[in-house]
Amino acid sequence: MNNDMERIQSFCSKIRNVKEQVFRDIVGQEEVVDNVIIAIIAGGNVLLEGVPGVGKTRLVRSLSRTLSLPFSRIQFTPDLMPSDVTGTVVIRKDKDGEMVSEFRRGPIFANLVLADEINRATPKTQSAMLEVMQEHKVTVANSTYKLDVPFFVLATENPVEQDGTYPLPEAQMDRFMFKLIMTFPNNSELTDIVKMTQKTMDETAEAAIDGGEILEMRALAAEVPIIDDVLSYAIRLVSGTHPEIDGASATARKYVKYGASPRAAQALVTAAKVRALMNGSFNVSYGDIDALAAPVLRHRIKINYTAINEHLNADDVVAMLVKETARK
Amino acid sequence: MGTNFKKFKRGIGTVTAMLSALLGLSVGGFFASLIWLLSKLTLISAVPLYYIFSAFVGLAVGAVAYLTHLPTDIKVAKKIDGDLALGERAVTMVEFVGEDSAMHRLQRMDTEKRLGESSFKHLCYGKLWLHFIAPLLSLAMLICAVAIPAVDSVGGGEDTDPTFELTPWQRQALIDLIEEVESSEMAVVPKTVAVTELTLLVDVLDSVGRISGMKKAVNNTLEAIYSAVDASNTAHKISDVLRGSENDRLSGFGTAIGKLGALLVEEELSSLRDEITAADGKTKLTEFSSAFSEALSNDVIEYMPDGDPLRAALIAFASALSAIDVSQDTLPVDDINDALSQANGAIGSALLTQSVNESVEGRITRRLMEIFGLKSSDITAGKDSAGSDEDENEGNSSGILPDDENNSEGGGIGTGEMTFGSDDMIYDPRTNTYVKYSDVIYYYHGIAMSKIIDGLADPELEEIITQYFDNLYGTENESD
Repeated sequence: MNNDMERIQSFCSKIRNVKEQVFRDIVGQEEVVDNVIIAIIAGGNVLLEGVPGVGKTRLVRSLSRTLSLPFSRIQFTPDLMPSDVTGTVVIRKDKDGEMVSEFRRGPIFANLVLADEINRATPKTQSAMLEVMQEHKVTVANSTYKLDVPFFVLATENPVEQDGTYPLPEAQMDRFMFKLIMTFPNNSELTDIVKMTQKTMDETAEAAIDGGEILEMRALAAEVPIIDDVLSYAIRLVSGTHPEIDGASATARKYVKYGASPRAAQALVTAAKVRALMNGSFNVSYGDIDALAAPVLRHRIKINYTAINEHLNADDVVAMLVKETARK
Repeated sequence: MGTNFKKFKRGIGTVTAMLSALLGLSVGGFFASLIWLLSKLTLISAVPLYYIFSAFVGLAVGAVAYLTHLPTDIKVAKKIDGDLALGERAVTMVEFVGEDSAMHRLQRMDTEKRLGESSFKHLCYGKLWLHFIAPLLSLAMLICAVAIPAVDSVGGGEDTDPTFELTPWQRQALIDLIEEVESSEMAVVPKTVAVTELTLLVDVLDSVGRISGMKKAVNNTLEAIYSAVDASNTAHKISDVLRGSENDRLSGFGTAIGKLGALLVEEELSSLRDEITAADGKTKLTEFSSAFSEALSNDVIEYMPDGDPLRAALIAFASALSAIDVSQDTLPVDDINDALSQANGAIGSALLTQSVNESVEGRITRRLMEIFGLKSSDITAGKDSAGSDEDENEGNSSGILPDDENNSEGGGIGTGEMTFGSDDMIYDPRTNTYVKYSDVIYYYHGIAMSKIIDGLADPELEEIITQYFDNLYGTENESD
């Protein structure tokens, strides 16, 4: 029992270490870094949206070093094939000169994968990628290859480019636990970035934890208690996004075309537990749910033309939903 | 549950109890003050039950408030989490109180630690001023109840209908009066009525509650007694009939009967004897007898009860007169004397009884007035018959002397044609009190005449007594 308590109590310190290391390479973006760490520990994937140069790749590299996890980067282009992601079978001569087939693993076989500009790939390649994300295995030529755990994909979308992109369908978007927005740094942050990168462009983050510890932390986070009222609140928040059901919120009836799936509720609660533990709390609170509502729901709801006409985006609608949903 | 949580729970419970008690006290105090105020304004009659009910209402409100806000563990936890911004730590601790995993233990320890760092003073109880609305309203009502004077003191006058409670002295005085009436020489029927009514009065007065009720009860009693005496005392009605006769002698005879004066009757009979035994006696006798018979056939007298002594005496007298043989040259004086003598005795006896009836009636009236401090204006019984008759011969059957009337300069007070010596008080051995002479004169006169008629008085004393009462029964002119 005491060991368990010590392990739980060490959770916070480990997270603190991870963040300390990451912020040696990343300036600002505290909320994004926190949520990415939450997603990694919770076992989810993240869709990152941000303009070029805000540090998306650097963030993943830094996390890779900090978390001691092998990292790979996949740059999605329109000509990228599924086998370019998953790997392929090749024929080669063995030492005896015999022709043998060998599966060459693709870049997906890493613990931490950066899927850059995922919306540039064709739907077929996107599907292959997302299938791997969901099942954590690759099937090629009737052979199944399991991916190492923990497995985490950070996919990026560039909001600027419109030409030559294939927007992810809602069903595929649902596979991402969070969608995070990396904003352009403010002047102070930009100054720090420039100063830091003038000295060196290399990531200086050091290893803080490893994959085994991440899995351990994942198991610990799952034990964090959540009271019925908070759980009910999370459920009502997600179900309230559906305008077609009884008890739908007024906001959903007015601004939402399609609501979030049950995965949203699962993601919300799982992530909330990790967040609670990260912040030194041993129970999930309403605040944890509220803080994660936007990352979990913004990419899962589709706003209608009324919202667009009123210049409301998904974050605005989610904020209204949170305000409208009563706590017990 | 941890120590710190229990401390908070105890504190919250105490505050809840205090606020509930404050609310209950305020509600109870408000209603009690309201009742007091309404009773001061004489809009209601405040009885202890109302105040007890107010207390009960306050108690009930306080109890309901406490039970509604009963500080259960979960309620306390929610309050703590909300007021101290503990992020659902306390509720989680309460909800998972039975769980024993490392995570739950740490959660409880963390919550206890946070509670230890917090203070009970940081808990909120809503807008504090709201809790003082009820007490302020109650205080305001109390101030109104104290400050607003009672309705009677505003006008400066007395309470128009104060409360009445029969005192032990009054009760005993009434009992003594009943005994006095029972031992009096009053006729049976009016005596029975008087005793019954007075006995009933004692019971009624226990429940009237107010002075007005007492006066009403006394007047009802007197009305019943007056009616009984009036029904028994036929002298006045017979007198009215006889006085209406054209025969002067008969008219004078009727006047004497109306005054309940046995001696006067004797004088009239004596005068009649003189007339009918004189030279013109036959005519006088015939005229008198004829007029007498005619008067006795009047409906008023004819339909009186047969058992009425005065009526019977008069009828017997009339028969005796009619039986006298007038065919002879001279009338039989013995027969005349016998007839007159018997008539005198019978009529005198009947008048004595009726005199006693009126005397006792007056005694009852006076005594009731004394016992209950009533003025003559409070006595409404018998006023219709006593006040409306303007005949100067009509006596005041109630025996009530006017409060402020003094028609005599020489010390005498008259009612009708009756004139008494004075309204001095004399000692009445029967009641061991001093009474007005006018209250007892009839009684004493009746007793004295009864003894004289029965021949029990000393002849010399008889003359003195007769002379004495003759002097008392003088005319108004003599008293002026």
